[in-house]
Order: sequence, then C-alpha cells, then structure tokens
Amino acid sequence: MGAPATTQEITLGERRIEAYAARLGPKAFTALFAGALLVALCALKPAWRERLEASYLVAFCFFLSITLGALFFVVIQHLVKAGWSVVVRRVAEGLSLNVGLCLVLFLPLLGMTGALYPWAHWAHGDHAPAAHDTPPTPHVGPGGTPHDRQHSPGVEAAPGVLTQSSPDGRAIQAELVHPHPSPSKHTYLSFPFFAVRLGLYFVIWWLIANYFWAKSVAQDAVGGIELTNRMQWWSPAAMIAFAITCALSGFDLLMTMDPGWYSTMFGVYWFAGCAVSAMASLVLCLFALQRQGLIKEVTPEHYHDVGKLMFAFVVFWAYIAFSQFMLIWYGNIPEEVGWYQRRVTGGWLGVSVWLLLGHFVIPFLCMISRYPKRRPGLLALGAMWVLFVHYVDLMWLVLPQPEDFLAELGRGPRRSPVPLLDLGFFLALGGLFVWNTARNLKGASLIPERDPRLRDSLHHENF
Amino acid sequence: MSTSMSTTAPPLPPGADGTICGVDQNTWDDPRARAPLITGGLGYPEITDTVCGVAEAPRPPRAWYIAFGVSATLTAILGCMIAYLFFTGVGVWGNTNPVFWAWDIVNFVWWVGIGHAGTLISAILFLFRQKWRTGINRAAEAMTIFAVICAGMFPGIHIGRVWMAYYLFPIPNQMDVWPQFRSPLMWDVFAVNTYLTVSALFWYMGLLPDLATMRDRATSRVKQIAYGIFALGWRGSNRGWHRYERAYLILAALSTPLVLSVHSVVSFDFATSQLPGWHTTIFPPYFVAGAIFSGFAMVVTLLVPVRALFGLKHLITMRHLENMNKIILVTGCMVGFAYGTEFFIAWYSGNPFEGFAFLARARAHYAWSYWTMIFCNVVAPQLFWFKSLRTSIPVMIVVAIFVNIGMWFERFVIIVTSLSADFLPAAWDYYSPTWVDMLTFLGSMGLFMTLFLLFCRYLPVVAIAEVKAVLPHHHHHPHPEGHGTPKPVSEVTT
Repeated sequence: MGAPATTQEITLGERRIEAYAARLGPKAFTALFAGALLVALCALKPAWRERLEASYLVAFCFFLSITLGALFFVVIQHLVKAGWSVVVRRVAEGLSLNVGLCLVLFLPLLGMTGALYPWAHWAHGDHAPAAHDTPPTPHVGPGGTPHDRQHSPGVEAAPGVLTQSSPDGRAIQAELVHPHPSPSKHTYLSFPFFAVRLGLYFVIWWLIANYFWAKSVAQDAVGGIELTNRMQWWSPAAMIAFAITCALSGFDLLMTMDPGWYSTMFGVYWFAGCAVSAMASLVLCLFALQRQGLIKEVTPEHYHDVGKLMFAFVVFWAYIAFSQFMLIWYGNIPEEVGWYQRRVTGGWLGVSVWLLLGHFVIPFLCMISRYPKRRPGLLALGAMWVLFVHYVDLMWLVLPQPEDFLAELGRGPRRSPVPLLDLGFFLALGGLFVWNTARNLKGASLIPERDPRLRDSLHHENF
Repeated sequence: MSTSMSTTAPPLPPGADGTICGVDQNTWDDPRARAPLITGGLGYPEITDTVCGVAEAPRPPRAWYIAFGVSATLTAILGCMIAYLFFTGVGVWGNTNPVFWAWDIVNFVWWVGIGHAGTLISAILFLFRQKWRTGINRAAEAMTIFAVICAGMFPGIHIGRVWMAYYLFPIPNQMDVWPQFRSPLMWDVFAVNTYLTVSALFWYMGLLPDLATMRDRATSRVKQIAYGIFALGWRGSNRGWHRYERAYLILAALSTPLVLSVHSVVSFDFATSQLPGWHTTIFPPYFVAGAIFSGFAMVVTLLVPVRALFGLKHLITMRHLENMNKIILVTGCMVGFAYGTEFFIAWYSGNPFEGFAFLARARAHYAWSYWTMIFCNVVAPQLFWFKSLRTSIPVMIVVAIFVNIGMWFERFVIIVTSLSADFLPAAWDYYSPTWVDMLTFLGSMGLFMTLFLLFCRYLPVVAIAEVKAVLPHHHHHPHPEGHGTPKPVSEVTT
C-alpha cells in the first residue's frame, strides 16, 4: 500500500450554476406569470374563488415539504457521516435554503386563516360581519361529518338557536363541529399562538439551513476537516429541533383544519411526504443540472442511492398512511372517523383509491428493480410521478376540509377538486421555487469541492 | 470549539492507513478515513482461529458453566411453572378483572421487541452498507431467534384452555370453525411466525460457509459428521459464493419490511381497540423504534461479556459497541418523542378519556411504573451523548440493563395501566402479579440464556466469512476506504 491517499486535498474545476441560472430565470418567471394569470382567471368564477385559499395552502405545503425534506437530507448526511452523498449534498443544501422563500410565501397564509381554519372564528365569532351571499343552513350535508352529530347529541337541536344568536355562518360551523371547544383547543388554536409558533419553526429551519449551507460553502475555500467536524457536532441538535418542528408544523398547518380531529401519527405522515418529495426533487435537480453539462461527478451510482431512498420513503409513506387509516377505520371512534369519512364520500373516494395506487402500488412496482434507479432519465420520470402524486396527496389532505366547511354553510355543493386552480398555483409557486433554488446555488460550487469525504463519494459504487 | 481555522491538516489517527490494524484504539472519528473494524493485527487465518477456537476449545471457561447452570435451573423452573399453570389454570397468575392481559402479554411484547435487533442488523444495516454489522450480526441473529421463541411461548400458554392451542392457527377442522381473520391477534400469529421463519432461514444461510469451515477443521468424527450435515455440502466454490451473495441480498430485502411489520402488527393488537392509551395511531412506528431500542440494549448486554469471555475483543471492538450505543440513543430519543406526541395529542384533543388515561399513568397508582419507564428509556440513554460514557464498558452495561428494564415497563404501562382504569370506574382495580407470574418471566430469561449459551458453545459466534470482507485489503477497487492509489480527478470526471 502506498501513502494514504486520503491526506491529500482534492481540487476540482469550477462547477457553477450562473450560466444555467441566467437561462432558467426567464422560464421560471414565465411559469410564475402564467400561473398567476391562471389563478386570476379562475378567481373570476365565484364558486372557484372560494377555493383560492385552500389551493394556495396545497401549493405552499408542497414546496415547504420539499424544502423540509431537503433540510432533513442535509442534516442526516452529517449525522451518519455519509461518504457517498457528498457530491449531491450541495444541491440538497440549495433546496433547503428555500426556507426563506417559504417564510415569505407563508405570510399571505396568515391572512387566510379565517377561510382555512374553523378555529380562527372561535375567539371573535360574535362580532364578525354578517354579510354572506347565502344564508347559512344548519343542515349538515348527507356525506358530511356524521361524527359531529354523533359526538354532540345537543347539536341536532342547536342549529336553529345558533342561527338566530349568531349570524356568522362560519362561527356556526365552528360551533357545529365543536359545540364547546376544550380549553386546550382554545389555548392552542388561537391566531396569535399559531402565528408565533409557525414563526418560531421558520426561525429554527432558517438557522439550520443557513448554518449547514454557510459551513459547507466555507469549506470550499479553506478545506480541512474542522468544518466537517463542526457540522457533525451540530447535526444531532439540528435533527432533534427538526423532528419536533416538522411534526408540529404538520399538526398546525394541516391537522388543525379539522379542529375536532387528531391523530398522533399525523406528524410522521407529513414528514414522510417531506422526505419522499425531497428525494424526488433532488433527482430532478441533478438530472436538470447534468443535462446542462454540470456536475458530471454525479454518476449512476449516486442516482441509484438517491433512487433507493426515494423508493424507501414511498414505502414508508404507504406504511404510515396505511397504519393511520387502518387504525382509525378499525377503531371506528366517532371523533376520528369523520376525517376519513369525508375522504371516502363524494368525489374523494376515487382520489383515495387513486392515491393508494399512484402513491404506492405503481411507484413500488416500477422502482423496485435496480434498472430504473441507475438510469437517470427513467429515474427522473419516476421522480416527476412521485412529485405529482405527492401534490395530489396534499390536495387530498387539504381540499375536502374547506369543501365540507363550505357545504355545511350551504354555499355551493360539495365539489371534486378544481385542477385548473391548483395548476395555476403550482406553476406560480413552482416558478418562484425553481428561480429561488437556482439563486441559492449561485456563487458557490455545485459540489462541496473540498469535503474530506469527497473521494469516497467520487469513487462510490453500489455492489 | 475553537474558531480559528487550521490550515495544516492534523495527522491521521492510527489505523487509518488502510492496512491491517495493529492497534486497539478504533473509536476515533476523522472525516478523511474510516476507522478499522478489526483490530489487534488480525488477518484471515487469525480470524478463523479466534472464532473457531471458541467452539473447538475442549471445555468452555468456568463462567460459562456457572451461567449455564443458572440458566438451566431457571429453564427448569419455567417448565414447572408452565406445568403448574396447565394443571391449575390461569388463576395462578395475577390476571383479574379488568386486567385480563398482564405479565403474560407484557413478556410477549418485550421478547418480540428484543427479537428485532438481529434482523435489523443483518438486513437494514446491510442495505445501508454498515460494515460494522459483520462483527455482531451472527450473535444478534441468534439472539433474535431465541427471543422470538420465548415470545411465542407466552400467547400459547395464556390462552387458558391449552388443549385448544392449535386453534391459534387456521387449521382445517371437522367443526368447520376458523379463527377470526379480522382480528389483529390472528395477524400477529402470522407476523411472528413469518418473522421467525425468515430470521431462522437468514441466520442459517449465513452460517453455511462458517459451518463448512468448522467441518473442515473438526478433528472428531462426530463433529465432522454433525457440522458436515448442517453445512449442506458447502465447498466455497465461485458459483456457491455467487448464489450465496444473491440469496443474501434477497433475504435482506425480504427481511427489511418484516423488521417493521412484526412490531407494527403487535402494536395493532392494542391500537385497533378503542381503549384510551391503546388506541393511538403513532403506535406502529413507535413500537418499531422501541423494539430496536430494546433489541440493541440486549445485544450490548450479551456481547460485552461474550467478547470478554471468548477473547473476541478484536472482532467485536469498542467501535461496534459505540455504534450500538448510538443506535440506542437515537431510538431512545424516538421513543421519547413518541411519548411526548401521545401526551401532546391527549391534551390537544380535549378528549377527557384520553387526557385521563395519560394523566393517570403519570400520577395515579401506577405512577411508579411510568416514571421507571421514563427514567430508564428516556433519561438513562442520554448519557450516551458523551463519547467517554458510550465507550465505557461499565456505563454501557448499566444503561443497556436500564433500557431492558425500561422497555419491559413500557409494555407494562401500556397494557396494565390502561386496562386497570378503563371506562367503567366501578370495574377499576389494581393489578398485582403472583409469584407464578414472576417465576415464569424469570424462567423465560433462563430459556433464552440457555439457548444463547449453547449457541456460543457450538456455533461460530462471529460471522467468519463476512467479517473477513471488512479487512482493509479485501477490496481490489482503487477506492473505498482510501486504499490503493486513487485516480486523479480529471480521469474520473471525464
């Protein structure tokens, strides 16, 4: 054996995104404007306008989940001292830096809580304006929420009384769902606490993402092992902070849309979506960059591993989704089944079945072989599919809620999703997201050029 | 942490030069190199001699005899307790209204959980390319099988009418009566049996090359025939190895979902019910994390004495133990996270029954068991944040035993406290075990230890063939852990 090879530093040529980012910018903004235009057109139709907030939440959660998943990926690479992933880590770091963009995109949501979260009306329901196009009907739709009625025997008699005492339909709806929200709900589900909590999560994510980005980029200049050691030192704390905030953000953003419903698994479900969408996004980013002739260091071996993780998280998602559904279905407790009831009635039954096929069966069968995982083009196709089904999963999580909400108010029938509106938001936010990701990666190499484990990664082989 | 950036690289730690490692210290971390997994300067022949020497020694160490005597006695007590139970009835246990599941099921879940480490090490760590698993996978898999055997015993003996035990399985019968397929208890029978079958196959297949080694080295005719039969004619041919590696990968892929499924199904036994404290959706992943937690704790508990007793310290090194302790820390944090989530949702839901069930755990009659669980499972493993503590033999033994105790209490807390104070206050009662409960549990440990000691005596405790694959000069590639001459980057990238 010769002298240990690991002591010598490696220098690579420049791997820069600037030229590609310049070409990408106009395309991203075209998508943004096309999407915004589509949304504006959809909003002309009053029935669709009521869906605006919910569709926005879907799109927001989609890009937030990619960002969080990428953050998870970056932190765990340091936590387990991974060698294989060095050449793909910088791109993931760039994705995770979108926390800032997500915070900006979150701000409009603060103005939408009234339309998305029934609890937003609990505190100030009494003095809300009574201006509504349709008078509220106390009748709960046939496919509505049987648990609401079963859970609270007094509700059948209550609607009339409530209609008289409070003209605000949404307040009535809130009371229908929960005649007497428990003190814990009053504490936890209040607008100021919600805003402060979410703000805190964003601060934590921002700190983690920027720390790992800054140290990683700094290492490109100075090399050595000290920065790696420091990132490793901080990775457990970052992972714990991430685990707690990620689970809570799932509860806060999505679970509280039905304030009566609760599931201890929901945070894990949200995390599974984050992880799977981040792996898919990473594949797409690598593929797009390589098509521009960049980061040729990434080989099918790396795609294979990212593909394995994507496959693993698809299965993990299915495991979590099945467990959550099966336990609630089997237990059949009125407080809990309503949430699923809403998703197996009306048009949503088809979506539920479709999710089972699209989010599990199809990707499972298509990606179990090593063949597609080692072919970047095929894997990118798989990644697009995974992102698509993840988007549908989020629609499935979000949209039945306000539909039910509106149906109970007697405003409009229960509708199946309006893909045009969702397409608009996807394009608009997607354009911003792509543009911002490219912007994040500017000014730094696309691979951590002097990471001490770079050699491991460059010579990585699956065998 | 210093803020100044040193420009001169510190020297590499000893053993990082990609040759056979003659030093014992391998718990260092340096991002430029991977620490050696075999120390003491062992090469191919020394590894074979060290491992086979354990089984070939004319007589085992004195400590083995003492341990075997104790274990065999406990196993005999287990036999007596089961006989007493069969002849007298389940009334000899403390189970009573409303706690109809008690120590029997607590022990079942505890043992199944312990039986998770082996397959996690041999399957999931294999898929994650964690080469350190090779030093410990054999013993961990053996332990897994014995733990599952102990676990499987409890549902069999707690059914009351033991002559109907066959009814656990869907056996066609003249009464045309079938088990309830919609019951998670039925799924459990399938899950545990599948797991036992696949784990045993995986373990046995991995043993083949080593059994052949033992056969070829055996000096007595009896041993030659015995090892010869079980080695299934293994010749170490190229084709044989090719098939072996393929089968290993496939079995690893098949076992991976099993690691998750078994304890998930066990958790369904509880979570499909409507009982507060049992019905919660996070149970499946939370049980799996807990199972890995307790499984690794048991592996540490067993391997620390085994490596000392049989001179295996260079194969099961401090780094192996440290890695296991890290997994204990991670899974301990996951379990703590699940406890927290359950409490949070119990509060958030505003459901008075949920809230009661969890407050009662922490503050009512069984608070002592709850706080024992929290201390052992959540607090004790935090010591492993410190490298000096997670590489200290006495500390890791104490923590691992705490974790074993804590995980037993976790199941006790879930099962007994939830049942003892359910929806009907008039039915509430305090459960106390009887001496039969205690001796049966102790006896199951005796059975487990007896089997494990026999394994240590007659089979290769370390996977000889696999461990050789992590010797530095095994690879002929220009790369992995930085051996050979690396190609210049320009050659690689073009």
